[in-house]
Amino acid sequence: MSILGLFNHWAFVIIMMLGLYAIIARNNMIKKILGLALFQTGIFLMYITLGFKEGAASPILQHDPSISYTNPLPQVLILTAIVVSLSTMAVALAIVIGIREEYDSIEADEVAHLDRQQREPGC
Amino acid sequence: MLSFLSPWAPHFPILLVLLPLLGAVLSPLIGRGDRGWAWAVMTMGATTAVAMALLLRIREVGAVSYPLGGWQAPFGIELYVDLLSAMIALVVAAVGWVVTIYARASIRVEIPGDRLGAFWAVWLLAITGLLGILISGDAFNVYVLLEISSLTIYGLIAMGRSRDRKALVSAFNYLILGSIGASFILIAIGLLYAQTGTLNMADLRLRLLEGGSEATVNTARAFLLAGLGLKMALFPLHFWMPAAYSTAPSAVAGLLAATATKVGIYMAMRFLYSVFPTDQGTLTGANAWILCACAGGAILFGSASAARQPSLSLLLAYSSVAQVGYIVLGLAVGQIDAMTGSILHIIFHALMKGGLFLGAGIIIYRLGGNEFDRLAGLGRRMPWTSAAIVLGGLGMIGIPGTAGFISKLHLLKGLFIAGQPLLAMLVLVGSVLAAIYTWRFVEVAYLRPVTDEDPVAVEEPPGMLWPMWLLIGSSVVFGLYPATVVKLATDAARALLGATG
Repeated sequence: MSILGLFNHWAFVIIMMLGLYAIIARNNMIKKILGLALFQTGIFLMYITLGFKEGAASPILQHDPSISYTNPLPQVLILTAIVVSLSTMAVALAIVIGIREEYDSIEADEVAHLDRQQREPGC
Repeated sequence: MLSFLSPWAPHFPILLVLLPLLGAVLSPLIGRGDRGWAWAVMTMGATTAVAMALLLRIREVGAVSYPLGGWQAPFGIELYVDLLSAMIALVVAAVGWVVTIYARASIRVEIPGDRLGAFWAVWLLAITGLLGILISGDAFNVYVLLEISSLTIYGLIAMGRSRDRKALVSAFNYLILGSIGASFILIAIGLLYAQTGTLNMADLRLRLLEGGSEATVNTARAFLLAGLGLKMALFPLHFWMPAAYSTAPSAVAGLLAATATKVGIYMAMRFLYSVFPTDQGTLTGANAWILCACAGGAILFGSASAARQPSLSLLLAYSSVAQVGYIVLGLAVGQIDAMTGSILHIIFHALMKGGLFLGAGIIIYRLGGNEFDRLAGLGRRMPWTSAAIVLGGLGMIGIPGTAGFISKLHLLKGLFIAGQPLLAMLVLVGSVLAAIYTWRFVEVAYLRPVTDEDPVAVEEPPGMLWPMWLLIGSSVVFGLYPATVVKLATDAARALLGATG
């Protein structure tokens, strides 16, 4: 199969890696969360691609045996995974609000610096 | 015993999840504070009774399959409980119950009333997720239940902010790492589905045995191991764990140390041995070696780091890193005695480390923290707590008479039979290091004089003391009378390894 034939697979890997890069390289916690969202969206694309079939009908039963259908199961699974991802975002943002209240910053390095100061007073 | 439950017997598997789930949903209506606590204790009591009854039933009739809503597998969702899952489910439910009882006083001090919110609902939901993973026979359901337990656990850890604001940062870091790990598991399940077209675990196995693309299956296994490694805090993916355990509310740390990582290890056992094809019951090539290397690193690094920590909670957390190493070592070797040792260590470590974290929590409750500077002369000031911690520490070393001895004995026997004397040496070196970090507590608590300005005797709250002693004591009882549980673990290990084609 040609490289372009696997276009969706390339796309999902690239989207995932962009997300992972944002999680690692960004200092701002909100941007880390956005990176996580991007990372998970890449996986959703992988699942949707699994169920897709070119020229096939939507999976609604029709009385014609010659029709082929796309696979609805991956989409249903991803519906669940989207809900999970949404809840993860909600919990993550709630924690970031707490961090902002306690540290007055959402930059990962500043927060780590404040923690170190607390541990070694006078340094 | 428990015969009044018999009309419900076919429904035990689903009740194990339904009871804590209903308890969690109803809990905000019952109330916060003591009423919410009493409700949670009742719910967990009922769940433990069901888990006990389920284990007794499985011992009689063998593994149980439960088609949800009457839809037969592989099209419907199946719950599947065998000896291994029933044993670990009983441990999770029972330890969860004991820690719930303990949590009453601890939570009152560590979480202010206005932040308590739906604490008991989140608490019960976390246990629901953990129990669900154990009984699910469907790979995608495992993922969803894993996320239910993980998300609630992030929230529970963050509630430690009133005592230590670092809890928020450790919860955030755990959330990022945990979500990446769970996403890897999701990718693995997707690849397995792409290969086989099924999500039912028994069906997955049958279709994987028929053959197919080696590359897809190996990629799926690699993603799964990386994801589970993060979830079970396997060295070198353990960084979130000491931070999270030492800053979480004490009761939450006790619950997590006893149950959360164990369920991750259970998933690894289940997927590696009952889903993926194995070579006559052993892992092949790189998988076994990578796991052994990580486990060996965990034992050495975890034990050595534990001896250098500034507080008791951190010491216990790094000791957990090492103990996960022992369990994974037995799992990776894939020899029946080593696997028995792993299963026993899952159970015994849950009891011992759960009890130890509860002890660390009692010290926080009375002294506001458990840094070693504050613990001078603790043996005289809090005699019952100190004694329990020393007893638990002896279990970590594996002194004969404690439960830790029984599990390590089986692990060592298995390693020698499998022809891995070097790995067996590693286990012994780990025990010596465990003796060093346990001695550190003994030295501070018993050999250092009480500093003048501190009051000599500190009252130890009985409502926290007896749950701790129940866990530590039961580990000693299992150490002295191990026959029943060893027999069950051997049967479970045989089923796990023998179910391979």
